[in-house]
Amino acid sequence: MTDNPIYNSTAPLTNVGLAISALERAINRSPSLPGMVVYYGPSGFGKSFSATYTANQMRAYYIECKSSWTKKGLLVSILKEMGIAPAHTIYEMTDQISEELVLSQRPLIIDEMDHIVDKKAVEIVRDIYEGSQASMLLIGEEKLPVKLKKWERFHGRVLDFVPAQPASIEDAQHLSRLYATGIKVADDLLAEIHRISRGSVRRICVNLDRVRETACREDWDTVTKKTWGNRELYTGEAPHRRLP
Amino acid sequence: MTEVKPAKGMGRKPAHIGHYGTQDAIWQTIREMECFTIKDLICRVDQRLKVNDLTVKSYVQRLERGGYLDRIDVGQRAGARQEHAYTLIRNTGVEAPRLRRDGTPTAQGKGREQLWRTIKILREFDWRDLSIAASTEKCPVAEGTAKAYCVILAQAGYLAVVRPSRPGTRARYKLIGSKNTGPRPPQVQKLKQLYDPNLDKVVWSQAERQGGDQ
Repeated sequence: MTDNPIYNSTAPLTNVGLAISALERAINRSPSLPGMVVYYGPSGFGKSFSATYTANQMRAYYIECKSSWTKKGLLVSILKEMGIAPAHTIYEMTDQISEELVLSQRPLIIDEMDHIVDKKAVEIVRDIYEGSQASMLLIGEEKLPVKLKKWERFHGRVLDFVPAQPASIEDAQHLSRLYATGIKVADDLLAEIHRISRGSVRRICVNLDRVRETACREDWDTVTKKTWGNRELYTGEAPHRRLP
Repeated sequence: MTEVKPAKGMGRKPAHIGHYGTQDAIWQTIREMECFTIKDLICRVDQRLKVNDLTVKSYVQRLERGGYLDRIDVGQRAGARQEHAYTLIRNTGVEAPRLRRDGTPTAQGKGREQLWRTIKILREFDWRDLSIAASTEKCPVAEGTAKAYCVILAQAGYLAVVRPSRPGTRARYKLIGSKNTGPRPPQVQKLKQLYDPNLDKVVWSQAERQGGDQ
């Protein structure tokens, strides 16, 4: 089983599947339809797993926005990712990017869109799209679709808004195959981890790693809820202080 | 760029004076010229980089077989060999197509490319995270490969060690912001050195450190 590449990648995770099929829909769209897809959800839902897998699978250009970015910052970063020396003006750089997207036919993934959505830099994304009609995956937090509504002309170029989903129990099982290597996490403990992590892929990973570490130390092969006892699991909340 | 042309049969050429740089130089020249004869192309490539004529011819042949170039015969002078003119018909952007002899794309270097892309996306990771996130169905990345790459990138100062390894816990690494040098993965070369094709520079070598002259 471990030799099967599917089991050693993030491909089977729900959100990875959602992201990749969203971008595929944009790539295979009919020419009359827009080509930008917005993929959004709370932090910890495995959006960066999704972005990474999608970028690797499609050989997409990937950039992550910073809060300090202006139009120029965005353009220079995309060009750097393409391996192209940036021209001097915003206008020329937008052209350089559009041309490369048209020629290479590779999609563009823009992560942390929230950082630029309140600024004019968001218009540059639209300009690049207009100049290239390239397929794009725009990733951001839960409120991204609402924030994008303000930019009416942008909104109309979006093919689909895809919400990331909370991790399912199947996702937890797959993560346990990936992260709890060498041990068996029993179903009851896994269910508990799934419950306590409240849909967050990241928290499930942290917890599984904790279980694996403890299991190594204690020399356990199988960890059930009972073996685990009342050891702590990571909930993502600030620790409570116990006062007498 | 060193202008060394290793003689044939002298072992594998280090990547930075071998295939990678030369194909890029030829491809960029072709994109500029669009229409050319081999002779013109060799001349123009030569201004950019010292490249063996046969390397140019072989890459042009691969591109033609792969459907990137169209070939037509041009006027033949008495006694001279038939000349061909090529036209670029499939311009796929700055990245030079990596092709086999028969013109089909090669998957060589794909794993390394995925590792480097994943490092830039995740920013902070251990080698297991990296191997899992960098793997696709078509091209899985082994844990050992991910681990070895982390170690050498850390030695070269590309990755900072956020948390050293302890028994039962893997070391955690972080990509140093200024070391996000570009799209092409730094290559581990024989003789234990790291070459960054984005900078066209050997950025770390074990020999240098041992010699202590820098």
